[in-house]
Amino acid sequence: MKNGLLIIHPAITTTPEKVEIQKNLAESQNVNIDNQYLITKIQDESVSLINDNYDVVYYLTPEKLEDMKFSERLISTIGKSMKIGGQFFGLSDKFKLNALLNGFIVIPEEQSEGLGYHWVKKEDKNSSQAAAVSLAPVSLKKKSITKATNGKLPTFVRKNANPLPSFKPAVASQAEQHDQDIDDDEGVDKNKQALLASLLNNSEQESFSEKDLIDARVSSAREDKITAVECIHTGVKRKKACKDCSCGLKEEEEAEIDGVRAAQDRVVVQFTPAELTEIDFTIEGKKVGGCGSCTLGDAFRCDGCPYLGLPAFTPGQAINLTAISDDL
Amino acid sequence: MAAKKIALLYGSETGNAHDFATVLSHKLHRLHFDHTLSTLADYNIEDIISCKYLFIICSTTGQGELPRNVWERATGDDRLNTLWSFLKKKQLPTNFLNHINVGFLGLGDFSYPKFNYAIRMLEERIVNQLGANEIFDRLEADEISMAGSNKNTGAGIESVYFEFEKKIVAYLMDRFPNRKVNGQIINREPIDKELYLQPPSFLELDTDSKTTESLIRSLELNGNQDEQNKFLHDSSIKYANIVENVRITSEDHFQDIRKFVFKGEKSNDEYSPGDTAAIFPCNSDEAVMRFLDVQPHWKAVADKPLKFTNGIPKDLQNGGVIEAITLRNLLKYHFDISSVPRSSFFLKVWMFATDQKRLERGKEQLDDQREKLYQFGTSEDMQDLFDYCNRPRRSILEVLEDFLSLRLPWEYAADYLPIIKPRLYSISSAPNDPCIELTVAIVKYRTILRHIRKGVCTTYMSSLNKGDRLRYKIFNNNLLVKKQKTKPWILVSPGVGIAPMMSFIRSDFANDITLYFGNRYFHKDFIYRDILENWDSTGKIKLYTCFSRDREASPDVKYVQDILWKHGKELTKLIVKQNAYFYLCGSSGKMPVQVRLTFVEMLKKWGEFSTPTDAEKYLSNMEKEDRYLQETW
Repeated sequence: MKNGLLIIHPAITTTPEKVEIQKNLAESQNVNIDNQYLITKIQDESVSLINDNYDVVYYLTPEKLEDMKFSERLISTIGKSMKIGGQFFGLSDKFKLNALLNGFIVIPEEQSEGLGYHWVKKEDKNSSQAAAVSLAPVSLKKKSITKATNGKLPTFVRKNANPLPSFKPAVASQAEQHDQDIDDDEGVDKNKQALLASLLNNSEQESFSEKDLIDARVSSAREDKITAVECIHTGVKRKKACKDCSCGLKEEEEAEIDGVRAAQDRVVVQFTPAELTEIDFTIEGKKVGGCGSCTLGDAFRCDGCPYLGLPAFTPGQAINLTAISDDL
Repeated sequence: MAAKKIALLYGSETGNAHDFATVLSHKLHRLHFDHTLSTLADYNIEDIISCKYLFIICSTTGQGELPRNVWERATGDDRLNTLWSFLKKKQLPTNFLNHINVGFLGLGDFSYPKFNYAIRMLEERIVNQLGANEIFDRLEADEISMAGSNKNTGAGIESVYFEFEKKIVAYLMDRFPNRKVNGQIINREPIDKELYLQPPSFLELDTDSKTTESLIRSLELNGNQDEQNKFLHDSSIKYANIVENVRITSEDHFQDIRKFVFKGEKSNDEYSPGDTAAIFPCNSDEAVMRFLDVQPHWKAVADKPLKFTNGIPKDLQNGGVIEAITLRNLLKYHFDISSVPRSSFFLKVWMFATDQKRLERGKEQLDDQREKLYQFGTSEDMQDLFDYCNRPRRSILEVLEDFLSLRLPWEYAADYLPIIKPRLYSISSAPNDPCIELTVAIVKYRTILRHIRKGVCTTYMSSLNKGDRLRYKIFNNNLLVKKQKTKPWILVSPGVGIAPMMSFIRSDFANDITLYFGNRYFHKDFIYRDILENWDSTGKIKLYTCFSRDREASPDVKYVQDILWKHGKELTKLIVKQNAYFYLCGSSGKMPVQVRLTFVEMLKKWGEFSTPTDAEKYLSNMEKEDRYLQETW
């Protein structure tokens, strides 16, 4: 039995019989479907494929051949998971260049010995670089690609595994596939539009309540599917005390505030309420701390600065803060 | 204009989700990804058909609920006709949203049992029931204690947000690494970070002579300018005059609680117990002057009539926009310059740190300030931002006074300054009384900053005198619509939680009411004492009080849950045998948790259930049937 991988487009779930048909077909070809994944899971790396593992890969999608979307990165990922000589069914000549760049050869229908159009993994990707270079210009929908690459032949850069792709001069393969901008007009589903219009103005329908939704969720136990973040930053964060703090953090905060205010009292000159019109306080002379940053404001002061909690200032200058009448 | 393929929608109660959405929007704009940024409620429903990529950031609020701006528009009529109300219609087929690729980020508070319920409800409907394709498993963050973040591993909320951002950017860049400019395909490169992203609509001088004339007229009018000011673009805003504004706690008590009464100009408000009034505050003239002092180049333009290049921004419209648009008026009525800035503020303004003239140490200091502001706006750690702004509750005004290198362009002020939001208060007056009464605690507290911290809205309200005018709205929350009037009611309310209880009792909705009222000192903050004791003596209610810091007045009980326990046997009988209703109101935090725990224990001890689990199930059922109601803030 050969090792098989079945990849499905999520929309296929509306026509589950197609999956059944594919599985039967696999059996008839002596292929055991070891794994079945949604394309999205492979795409976002929530499943990883073992290298050099599959004899056959099938891709099922309800999309029409000419409308199909498939990223270069995915072709590369799948290629790596296949054995040399492995067969990949499901894509089309639309991605021919990517096939070639990723070590596949394309078997057209008439040469497929009845299997239908498919790709065969010929070699490991690295060794295909020479091929990439020679393939470069000729048969593509080029548009302004040469301009973008400054006239040099595009070099094939293996897309790294980081989520954020690095921006090298436009690789030809991407251009072929991504010659569309996101804002290109693709048209909308007219049936959905009509349905929306008819439901929108009809207020006499039943709706689900939030309670219904929670019940549906609870009964299907779908809570565990949350993305886990790989935490780069360690270290405990200082948090604020809760309103009704009972663990003592509030008292600590109050003590800290008292301490800071006491330190401020030592460096400011306070005016009596009678003298107080516009000026709250002035900072005497050049009483500055060791780090020399006291005048720069809290964003630059050190933890023990006596001026913490006061605005930035120039030494000796009266701070002209408009006192709000019912303050303190 | 064609609807955008990318929609970035948020549901925000306190502004966290809004801020993250703003940061993400900024990132998408830098990468030339045109998109719609909106609250879920303000999104144009028809656009969902053209939408291909949907990103939702939503907080959970209240008792596991969706924030208001998910299901209610901010302005206009027909406010409940929103995308969410549409998507809940049963007639929608299971593949209705299968043209959409969606990603979710939920913000919640792990100390609540219904952690992140809002995002889960959205996901349930949009993905599992309507067929949208989820690009990656949803992300959930814990805003408060962090324990619940990130599958309970405790990553900070910002780590979770930046993971969300990374996934979305990677996804879009993978699909659309190029873009079309004048028909040509080029690489999608980000816009230089030093360039400010001009918003679609911004301020400019209004040279129309008619505007200038009307502005001069309004400035020349004698008397209280507030009286003459009109607010446009929100047909649901209302005006009222203050009837009464008195302090009802003793002068020597640390907390100033007001009985605040106002009468609508139209006097036609309909409301029931549990409904809330939204008050739209403004800044003091002193705060406005302070701002102009720290951005002196605005002074020359401060009173000139302005207009927006491309229509009034949506954010500005809630509560109406001041008719005479000038910088001074915008600073007074709309720009929240006393609020604590968020990372998106720094993200937008750091590049305007260009003015060396006011700096003591010249270029070096300028560079330091510029770099520091940039870090505040972009650091994924956010710890420094938290220490500088959030912990001490530093205001935008104070930040500007610390960073004198900032020379902000007034034209874009509506883009980088947050907008003042209304605050909601439970109504205390009897239903439909044209004199609307609120019970409001004035917010004042200390931090390390020398100037005492004050709540924007409560400070505004405390400054109003009889006859002054304010803007408001009434929100009907339908608390009692289906409730049984004939059942006994148990009301529990520490402190200002008494507000909706007053309305409830005055409504004569029920005639078997027991009220548990907790405060701190009998002689200092036993608010509404006369009225309540009168109602108790006439048998309208049964009143039980306790005073947590007053051992003389209540020697053997401290908190409301103590009295509940004391009366445990009788109360449990009322609940289990007579199907009594339970309504708890007050501050969020430990109080509601303690009360609920006490309630469960009461049921276990006196409820005559076969097992303790049955007692817990009984309470869950009560909550489901809205027999155990909770309103905490």
